[in-house]
Amino acid sequence: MPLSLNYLLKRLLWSAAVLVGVAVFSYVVIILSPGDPAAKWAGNPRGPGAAKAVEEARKELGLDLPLHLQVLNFLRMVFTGNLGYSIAYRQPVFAVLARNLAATLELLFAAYLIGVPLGSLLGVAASLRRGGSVDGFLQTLGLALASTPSFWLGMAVFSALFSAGFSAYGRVSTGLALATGFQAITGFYLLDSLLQLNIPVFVDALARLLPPALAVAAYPTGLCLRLSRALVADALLEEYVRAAVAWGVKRRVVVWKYAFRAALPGLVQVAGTAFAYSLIDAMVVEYVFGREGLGRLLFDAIAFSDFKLAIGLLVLVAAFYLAVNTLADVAQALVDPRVKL
Amino acid sequence: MRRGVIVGVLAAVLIAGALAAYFLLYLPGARREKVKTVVYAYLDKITGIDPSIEDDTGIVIIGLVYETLLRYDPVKNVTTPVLAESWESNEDGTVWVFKLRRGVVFHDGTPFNATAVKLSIERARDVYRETGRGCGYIWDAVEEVEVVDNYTVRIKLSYPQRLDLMAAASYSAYVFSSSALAKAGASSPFDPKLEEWFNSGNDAGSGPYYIEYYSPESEVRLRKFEKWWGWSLVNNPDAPDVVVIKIRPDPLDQYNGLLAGEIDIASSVPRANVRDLAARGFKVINMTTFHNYILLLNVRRYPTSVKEFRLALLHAIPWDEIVDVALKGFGRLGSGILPHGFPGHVENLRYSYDPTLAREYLKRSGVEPGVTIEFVYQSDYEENEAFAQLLKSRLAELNITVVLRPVPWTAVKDAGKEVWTNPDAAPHLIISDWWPTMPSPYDYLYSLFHSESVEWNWAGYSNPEFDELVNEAYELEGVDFTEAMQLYAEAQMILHEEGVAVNLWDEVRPFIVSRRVEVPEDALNPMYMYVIRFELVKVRE
Amino acid sequence: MSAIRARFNSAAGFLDLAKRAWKKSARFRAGTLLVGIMVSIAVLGPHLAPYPLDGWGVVPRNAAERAGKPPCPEFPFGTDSLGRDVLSRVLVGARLALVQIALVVSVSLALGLLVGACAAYYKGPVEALLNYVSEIFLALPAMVIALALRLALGQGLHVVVVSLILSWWPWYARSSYVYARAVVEMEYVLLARLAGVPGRTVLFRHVLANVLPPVLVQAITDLGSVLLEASAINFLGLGLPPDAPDWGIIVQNGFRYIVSMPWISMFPGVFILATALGFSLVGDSLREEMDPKMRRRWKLWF
Repeated sequence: MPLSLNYLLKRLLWSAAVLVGVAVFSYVVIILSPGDPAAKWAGNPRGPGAAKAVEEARKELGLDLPLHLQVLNFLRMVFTGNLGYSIAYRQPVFAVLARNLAATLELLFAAYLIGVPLGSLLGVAASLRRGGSVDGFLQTLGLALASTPSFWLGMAVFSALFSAGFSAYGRVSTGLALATGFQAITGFYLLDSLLQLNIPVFVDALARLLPPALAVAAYPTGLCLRLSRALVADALLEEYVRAAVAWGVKRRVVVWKYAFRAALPGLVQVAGTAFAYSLIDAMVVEYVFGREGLGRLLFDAIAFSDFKLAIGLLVLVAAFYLAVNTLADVAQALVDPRVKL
Repeated sequence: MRRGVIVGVLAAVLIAGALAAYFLLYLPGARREKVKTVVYAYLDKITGIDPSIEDDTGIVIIGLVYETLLRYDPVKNVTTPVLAESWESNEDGTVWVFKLRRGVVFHDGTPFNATAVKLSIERARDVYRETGRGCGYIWDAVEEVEVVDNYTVRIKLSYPQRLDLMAAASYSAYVFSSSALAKAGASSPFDPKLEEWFNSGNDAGSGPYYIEYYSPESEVRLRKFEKWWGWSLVNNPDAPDVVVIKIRPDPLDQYNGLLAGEIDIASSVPRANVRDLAARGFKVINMTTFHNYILLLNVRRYPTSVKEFRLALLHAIPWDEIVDVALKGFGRLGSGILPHGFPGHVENLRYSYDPTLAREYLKRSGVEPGVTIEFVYQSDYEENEAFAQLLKSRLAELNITVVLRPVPWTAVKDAGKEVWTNPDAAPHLIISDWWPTMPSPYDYLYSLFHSESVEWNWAGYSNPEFDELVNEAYELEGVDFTEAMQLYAEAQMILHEEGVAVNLWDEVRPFIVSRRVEVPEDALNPMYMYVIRFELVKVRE
Repeated sequence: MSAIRARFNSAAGFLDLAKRAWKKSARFRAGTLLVGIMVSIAVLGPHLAPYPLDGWGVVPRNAAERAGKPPCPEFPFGTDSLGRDVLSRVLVGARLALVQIALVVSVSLALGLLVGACAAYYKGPVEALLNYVSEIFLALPAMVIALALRLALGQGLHVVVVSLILSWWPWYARSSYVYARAVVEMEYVLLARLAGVPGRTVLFRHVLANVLPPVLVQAITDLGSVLLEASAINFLGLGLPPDAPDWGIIVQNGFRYIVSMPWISMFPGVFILATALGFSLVGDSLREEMDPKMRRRWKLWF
């Protein structure tokens, strides 16, 4: 599995170039939309400091410069991580984004750790009963899971738990966090609480993480179910698998070491790409469960007319997509002996 | 197989170790500190805590951390001495003498005296005069503040005024310690460094609580000030040691917090859930404040520039449905411009819901049917949203299309102020929610309708007769209060006749209090909106 | 090359495919049924609704008594916080749902096909540029574009539709580019050019006709995915205003009351699910029928 440095370098350069394009696009949105770009950048301020704030925004964006210099200036701002101070949080935009990215990633990881294995296993089960009613049912289930609106599922889960007496709100109980002196270190609460040997917070954070994770996991479960069913079913028809069966290899080994192994590269790549799409699902579900994270930033950016935060979010999400896609391709190449890079 | 066993044993050991650590380190620890904490969920982020300049949501903090000379409850018509023990004025109300309380210290230990009072009054007044910021206009009549001795202040006014009422204002009437200047590195009281120092979370107050932690968008923690002069008078050993003010703008968020036991006092829950909470054993306090919602009509933009059209609109508003449908029973239908219980309130200055009359006015206005108007209101207020949809539905019956534009508060202000620069870009209808700084109708009538008040006069109303009436009334307050109120009533009637604006409803906000906290009635005063006097609150564990 | 073994190249061909799928696949039948129901609701909605005014968002006269009723015979889906019948709102909302997705998919499809085919045909710097631009939008989910547009342009249908089109067209561009690249090499295209037939005609007639079939099937599945994304965008308040008759908006209205009046959000969500599922079932079974080998192309699984 030669993973050439050349390929990796080319991919990285290409992704960087695309990211530049994304930044340019966002700049175009700022400039071309109706209204004064400087006022928008400053968050439509009011009161006595307003004129000054707009003037500062004008300088920051370099609106008096010729167009190509404006764009370059903006690109510089984006890529040095200096988009200024978020209006909603009064902190540097990238600091706010970084802090909240961890929260959303934790949710995404949890969702995929549940969804991908679950979906794949169900898919294998369906492929073994190919053509039967169980197979049909599972395939439809897969489609249904992938067609469920995540925010609605999140609300259903939340409401069901609530009537059973458990509020899955937020990431951790603030009272508990205060009482046990919990500190956020990495931003991944499960990790942080273990690092501080803070079991009550660990249990609490886990309990609040699972319900939203289940809501986000619906899509990858459905996806992996259908995909693994298709791939494994095909693989089981392949010559070498039939040969193995004829040779008397144990059924379990055939299914898992041969057929499933063959399906793995495809699963990895699809799951990897889907991981990027699920970011949005995670953000919406975060909003439903009142968790801190990129979803809340989305909401606050609107509430405070925080253009800087919105642009930062846009660039971050694009960077995330590109990174995940590259990683997924690389991972697939590593797993699939047939792909030569 | 063997590998699995080893992994299982390791996992068991780890879990056992962690559990042991938990029992050893945390359980006893959590029981050690018995700090009486009350969590108060507030619905808006704190806009600032400068005692002289803050004019918005910061009052929640300032009202606890700082003190005024006097406190006034307009509904009960009772003035309570706070930092001033007694006061008197001369015959024509142009010279006021305040005798200050002894034995008061600020949070940093500096003693409270007349110098601090002089500094505070002058700063508030002058910042307003220079920059138009804050509510220092309450001290506008103040010509000179004389420090007679450490505990006596003589104030000379350039025209007669009820300075006792001004000294009890909810904004810009707070006294802070002069030590703040040195700490902020400010060269004068007007050095912006002082304001920055305040807004970074520092306090120079004398109130029963001081600021321990300040994060205006999320949480502010206040701790009991042991040396406060009033503890012996209040005699409340159950007062909280720590007050945590959490910023939670989402009502559902607050509702969840209450049920999870994280919030003790919620200021905003979905109204539909209030009965549910009461059934679960929570106490519901219907907080009546002077916070009201005034609908302003843009008199400079067609078709609301036509008086008959405005009147048609006002008679098409379903007044009888507002409280039940839009407010879910929590609110009081407005009358005139001023809220109930406020000085100068005029009863029965309303419009009737009369579609026939409305149609009549519409015909008289000459406006073509099928016209479209724009309505801007603040987006996160549930009641505004419900009212807007109600209004839209009813006006549709008159063949008037309403375009709803819910936007954040800053955008509401921008939209409203636009009426003076570009009236056709300003909305036809806009809701301004208002609460008073000083216990005088001038606060409402000047700010919202005087032709010089471009900041808040979003109707674009300019009527010299009205202006004169209001000015006259203000000057009369210090001389003949009752007569002044009469003039204010006349001013409101002018507005009513011309259909410029109307008080939609007076806010009745259901505050939900958990069982472990008791909020007595005198901890709340409608003049100081949303301020809970925690020194009177009892925490039962 | 085998992927271009198109099973149809005309409307008649497509109908044949559909008939075959109907006979063979239960899922196709189920999907078509669901889609059929939703389309009929969309067309007839306002006439089917017991309280059509409620459906359009008008607050009824006796709102105070009616508000917040759980599902009962009079209001099968209950009423919302302002007393409007939820069943009527959901029925009327079907129309806007289908309009949004039809608009988004048709425009992105047209745009994407054009871009992809042009990139393959013209090659060289045009190809590189178009690929680059589509990569940019491939990296941007509709939600964040909607955020930026919402701040720039304010609320409205345009925000939802434009952001979705911007994020969706590159998918079609990529698919059509891949197919078109192979088609362009085919001999008859070269011969046509040599014969002096203008470039554009060649493009339309040969390239697009061959590219359209599988991409069209993908588009059907996409109608469901777009609905899910559009609903999410409206749910967060980035698109339509809060009184619009849209399923996502109704869910948003009910969000605040999820504990006390769960039916407000529940029912529109079921309809979103059913519609998306319907399209997915149809698209999935059509794809199976058309070319079973195509499932190896991972990218088409979304």
